[in-house]
Amino acid sequence: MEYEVIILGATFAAAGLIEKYKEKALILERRPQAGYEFFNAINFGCEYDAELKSDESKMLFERFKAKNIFTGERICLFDCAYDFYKCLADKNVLLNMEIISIQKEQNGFLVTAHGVSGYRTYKAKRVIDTRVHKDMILSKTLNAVLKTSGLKNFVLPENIKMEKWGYGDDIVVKCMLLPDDDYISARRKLFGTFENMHEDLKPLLVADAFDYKLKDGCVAEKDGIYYMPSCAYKNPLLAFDAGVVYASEGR
Amino acid sequence: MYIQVVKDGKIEKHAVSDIKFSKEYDVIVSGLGTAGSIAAMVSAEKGLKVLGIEAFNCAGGTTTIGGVQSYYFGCPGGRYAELDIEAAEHQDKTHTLNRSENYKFIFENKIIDAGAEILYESSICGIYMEADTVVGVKVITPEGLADFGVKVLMDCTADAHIANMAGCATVYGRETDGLTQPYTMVSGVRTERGIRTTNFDFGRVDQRDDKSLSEALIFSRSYEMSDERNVGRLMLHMPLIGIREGRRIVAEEMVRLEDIFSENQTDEPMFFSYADLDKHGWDVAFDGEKLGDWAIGANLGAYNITVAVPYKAIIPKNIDGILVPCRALGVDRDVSSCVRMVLDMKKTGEAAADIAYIAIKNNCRLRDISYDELKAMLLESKCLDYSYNRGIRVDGMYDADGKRLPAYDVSFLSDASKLEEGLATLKPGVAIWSAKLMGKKCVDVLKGLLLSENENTRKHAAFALAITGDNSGTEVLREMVEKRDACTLTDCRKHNQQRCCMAIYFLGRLADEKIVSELIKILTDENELSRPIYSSKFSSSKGRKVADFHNTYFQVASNAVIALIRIADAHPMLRDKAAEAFNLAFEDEKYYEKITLRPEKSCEGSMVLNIKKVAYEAVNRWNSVK
Repeated sequence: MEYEVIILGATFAAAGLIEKYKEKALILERRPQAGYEFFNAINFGCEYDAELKSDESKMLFERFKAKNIFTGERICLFDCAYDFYKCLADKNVLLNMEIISIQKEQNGFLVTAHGVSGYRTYKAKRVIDTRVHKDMILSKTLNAVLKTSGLKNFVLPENIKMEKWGYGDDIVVKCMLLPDDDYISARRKLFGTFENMHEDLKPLLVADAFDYKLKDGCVAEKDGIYYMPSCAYKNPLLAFDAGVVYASEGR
Repeated sequence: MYIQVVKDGKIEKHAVSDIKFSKEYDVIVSGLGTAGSIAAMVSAEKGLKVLGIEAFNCAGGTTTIGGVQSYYFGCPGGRYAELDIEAAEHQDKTHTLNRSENYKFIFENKIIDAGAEILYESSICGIYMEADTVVGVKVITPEGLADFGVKVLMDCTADAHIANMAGCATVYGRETDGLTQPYTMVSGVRTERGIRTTNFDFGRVDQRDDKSLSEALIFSRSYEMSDERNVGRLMLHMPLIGIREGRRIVAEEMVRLEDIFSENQTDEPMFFSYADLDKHGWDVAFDGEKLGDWAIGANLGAYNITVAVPYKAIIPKNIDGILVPCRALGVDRDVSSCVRMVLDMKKTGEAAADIAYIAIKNNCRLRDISYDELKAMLLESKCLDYSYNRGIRVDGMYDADGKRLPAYDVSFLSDASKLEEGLATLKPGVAIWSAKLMGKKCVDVLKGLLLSENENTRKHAAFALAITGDNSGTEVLREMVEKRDACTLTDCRKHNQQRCCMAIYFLGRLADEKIVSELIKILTDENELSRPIYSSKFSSSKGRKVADFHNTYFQVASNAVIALIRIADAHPMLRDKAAEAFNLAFEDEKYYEKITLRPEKSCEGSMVLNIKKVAYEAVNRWNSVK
């Protein structure tokens, strides 16, 4: 099958791209989820006052605001998942697709993926990669939501940092990890800290995707592939906006 | 040696030479879900060299990332029980309010502590085979492709993705329309106490097809729950959607519904499964006559059955070196709606580990292991416990105050003179099914009951006669259809049938020509919905309330369509008349909204569209033999 553009990763940036490219693009994603770099990483972002350039992202922001994402200085995005997934409905998006190889050809790329229907091969003039790659990572955390039950004066273990995210009495905490930590070692670190926390701080939810902080300069073109890792942006709307803007520029 | 892969949905076979496996394992478990987690842990504990491969980044499957946190029936006993205790202790220690998070932690640590390796974010993309035996796998890992040798490959993917790749014969969906049960999206919402999961059924998905699966994942997460289900602020959509049914392998020993009903069950069980034939689709009219007799004809759909699950149900026919311990095991489509629960899958995983261990230790084919040796292991862990071989039971009933009532065994009657007592009540199911079991020997007694002054006795005797194949009660059945008999029977805790639907079902089953005009009226008469049986625009019979879905009309109409198809199949001269009625009914632009206001991809919407599809497929079939 042939497309103008193949987008790797069903991220917010990818959703912005396909908003403009429409049926000319195909998103391929290895996870069964989309927008995981923010929702499933429990990374609600910052700098929501930054200017959004596209009408599409401004509209999405309005839909998010209607979900009451801001309470004072705190942000909670979970309820916006419906609106985000609506952006992907009826578009060319394939989840659960492992990328096996990306081969450069004379007039574009040959992308081989593997999913529930087995191997699939796609041709495209361009490839845009919105995922994170190992060499981009500066640091990472595994985040969790804790119920505080109104407890105010609590001390968190050293490797745990509290964010300005959450809703009501719930807070979001980040467990600092080493670059080589995998999900097994990350969960061991996080659950180890839970054992040492005040018993009224009750974990409600643990992220199933890492929250990455990336090095500068990750958004760049290399070997004909344009890299725009979605989590390089300060918040999901800025990532979405970057996708829309990039696609609008006719590239 | 050759490698088998799937490309664009089709299996390809390529010869390979000089393949060097980077590692050799006794057991590779593909999918560390409900069954796979236990299979990997128990295999490693027995000293086998084990690799667990999981596409997501944690273990547990349905019990963790599927959001299913409790057991729906099943029999206790087996290795899973100690994990439940450890998870509960860990939950206390870490103060977590979410059981799934603890299970993720406990499962993966138990697997690792037992000595197994885990590869997350990885999946199998090729199977190496020598003749009819699996000998290795090609795996996509985060570090690239890898080739591993294996003695026993366990396909715990739930959908036989790996068994299919290896060339095992599989079947899919129901006979009428090829569909499987509806899928569910489980969401976690924040409530006062913590996170509560809410289940919401959607339409059908074909999880063998990447487009269909992706559409289901996206649609179900973009669909905001109606107020009645929205009990708190959304916190997450579970990564796994709740798929209940998929491919089923053709196994060394198969379990069929008729064998369960005739008590002709296996002598070599690995455990006993125990639940009702749990249908999430409301379109039981399309489920065929074997299940139809039980669920519609006798109104026993929510009675629990005990299934002795043979160990050979996880051994594919004609292929060695692979086990399929997951819901894709060798059961027929009807039984698959029962033998799929979380406890069943945990026990399947445990038994698979024992089977692999015995085969590897004795260097024999999986199908040749000693059952006595397996049985001893299963009895010791209580995975197999004969005290749970309890036949058919009524279970899960509650009184008006919400107190659970004790379960009780069901005995069917063998004396025709005893049928009247049951038929006279609004719980005639056991008597109707007893008539089916008795067959011709109860027909004369039932004919006599057709003259009874007791309305229940007379009508239910007509059902009992029909289920034996006798058409003496057709006039009574027709009367129930013509009057749209709204009486709902009360045999079950859920899915109780209305007499009108039961009568339509039996008249279709008996291919009764005289009911055709009335069935057409149901589908095409513009005043149909003003009849008392459909008491409000979106009425639901008791216990079946779904907003914006006219379940009563859906049941009557779907049964009418199937009955018309059955009658026209038997009487070719009626086919044009039926086809004309279908055109009139389904080309009416109000057809869809007469039944539901929900979207087409919702559970209800997809079922409404499917009535039309099934009807037109029958018409096409008739036209092709003209």
